Amino acid sequence: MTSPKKSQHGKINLRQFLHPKTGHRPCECEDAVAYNLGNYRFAVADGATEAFDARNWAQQLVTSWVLEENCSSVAEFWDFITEQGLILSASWSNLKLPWYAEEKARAGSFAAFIGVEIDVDAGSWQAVALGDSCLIQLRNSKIVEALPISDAAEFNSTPVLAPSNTALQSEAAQKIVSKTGRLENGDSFLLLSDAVAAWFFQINENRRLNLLQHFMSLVSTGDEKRLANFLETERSAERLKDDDIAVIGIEVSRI
Amino acid sequence: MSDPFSGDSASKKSDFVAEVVNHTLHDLVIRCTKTEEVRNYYYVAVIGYGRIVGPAFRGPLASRNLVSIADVADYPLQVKNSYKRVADGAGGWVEIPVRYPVWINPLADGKTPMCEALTLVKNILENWVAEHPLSFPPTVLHLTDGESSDGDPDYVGRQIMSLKTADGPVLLFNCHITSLRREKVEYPSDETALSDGFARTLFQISSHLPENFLAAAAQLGVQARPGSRGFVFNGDPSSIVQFYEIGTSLTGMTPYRWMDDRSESA
Repeated sequence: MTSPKKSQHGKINLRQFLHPKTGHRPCECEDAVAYNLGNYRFAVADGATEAFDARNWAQQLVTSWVLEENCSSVAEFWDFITEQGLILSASWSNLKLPWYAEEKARAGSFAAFIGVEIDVDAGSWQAVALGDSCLIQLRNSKIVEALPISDAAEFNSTPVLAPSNTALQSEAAQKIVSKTGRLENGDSFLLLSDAVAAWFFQINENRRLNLLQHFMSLVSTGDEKRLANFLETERSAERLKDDDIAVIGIEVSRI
Repeated sequence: MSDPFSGDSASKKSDFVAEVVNHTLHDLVIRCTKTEEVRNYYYVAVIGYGRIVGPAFRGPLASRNLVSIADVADYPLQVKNSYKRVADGAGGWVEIPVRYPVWINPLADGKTPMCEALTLVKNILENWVAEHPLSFPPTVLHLTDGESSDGDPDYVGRQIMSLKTADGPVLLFNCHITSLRREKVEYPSDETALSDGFARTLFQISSHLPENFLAAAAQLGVQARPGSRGFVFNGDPSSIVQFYEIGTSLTGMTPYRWMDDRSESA
C-alpha cells in the first residue's frame, strides 16, 4: 500500500487507552500506543517485562512505525525493526551497567507489535504483526478479521516477539504476519495487547455479548475512567489476566 | 572432591561443582532481572561441608547463611572476563566478551559430615518457612561424593522433608557423584536398581519430583516420570549440571543450557 493521504471521503473516530497492571503506576506500563492522523497509521506494542529496556523498545517501535511510509510487508518490517534495534542499542552504549543488566542488554529487548494502515478512500487496510498483540476488524459487532491470532486458545506465555537484536533472533522474521483487507462504512478496528485481546476472543467465543458490547461502548465513548473500572472488574472476576493493557479503537465512516 | 572425574584427569570434581554452582547462581539472578533491576523472587543459601560446615559464599557475602537474590547479584566474590559464543545471524558463530561473576571457590577438604550439614540446612529452613508461610516451599539441592562420616542422615533428612509452607513440603533432592566407573541411577521411582544401603538411604530422603520439575527434566531429555524422586546415584558431570538445572526450574522456564555457550575463562 502506498502512503494514504488523509481521507477526502470519510473520517475516523479514534480512541486510545493504556492501563497498567493492578496496583502499578501508569509510568510502569510497558505497553505503548501511537497513531499518525497524517497517514492513518495506528500501532500497539507490548514490551516484554523480562527483557532489557522493554518499555522504551515498545514505545520506540510504535512511534517510529507510524511515521514511516512503508514497513508493512514482512521484509520491510524486518528491516525496520533491525534499524530501530540498532538505534536502541546505541542509546545504551554509555550506560554503566551491572553484570546482570549488561547480559540482559546483550540479548536485546523484545516487544509484541501490531500496526495497521487504513486507506479510507480506497476502502482498504494493511497490517503487520509480530507477537501476540492483535488487530480485530468488526462489522455490525461481529469479527470479520483478526490477526495474527484469532482464538483465545492460541495465546501462550512464550510468543515470538520483535527483537531489538535481530542478528540473534533471525528466526523471528518467519513469524511476521502481513495482511491486507477491505473495509466498509461503519467498520471498527481494535488494536489490543495480548491480555485484553485474549479476553476479547474468550468473551466472544463464550457469547458474552453484553460484556463485549459494554466494552465496545466504553471504547467508543472514550470514557477512560469507566473503561478502567470495567477492566478492573473483569480482572477481579478472573476473566481478564492482570497484565498491562493497550487499546486503540478506530471507527470508520465513509461518505 | 579433590579427585578428578573418571577419565578426566584435568578437572577436579570440586572445580567442576564450583563452576556449576556459580552458573546456577548466575542463572537465578538473570531469571530475576527485569530491565536492570533484580527482583527478590528467591533467597539462596549455599552450604559447604568438609573440614568445616558452613556458608560457602566468599567475598562480601561470606558467613551469610541466607542471601536475597538481589544481594547475590550485587555482591559476587569477583566478576571475571570471559567469552561467549553467539550466533552471528548468518549461520555462523562469533565470540563476544562477557563479564562473569563468581561467588564460591572450589574446596575439597576433610571428611563428609553430612548430618551436621543437613542439620544446619534444617535450622535455616525452619526459620525461613516460619517467616514465609505462604511461599513456594524451599528446594534443597544436596550434592555429595561420599557416604556420611558422621552418622545416618535419614533422620535429619526426614526432618527437612517434614517442613512445609502452605504451598507444600520442602523439597529435598540428592545427587551422589563418583569418580568410579559405575552405572548411574537417575531419578528412579523405586529402589530396585539400588543395591547399596547408602543409596537407599538417600533415595528415601529424596522428594518426589513435582510436575514443573518433571517438565524441566523432559526438556533436558532426562528420563523422569510421575513418581520419580529427585535423586541421582553414581552421577557424572552431566548429572550434576542436569541436577541443578532441574532443581532450579520451579519458574517453569526453559532450563538455561550453559554447557556449550562459554568458550574460555580468563
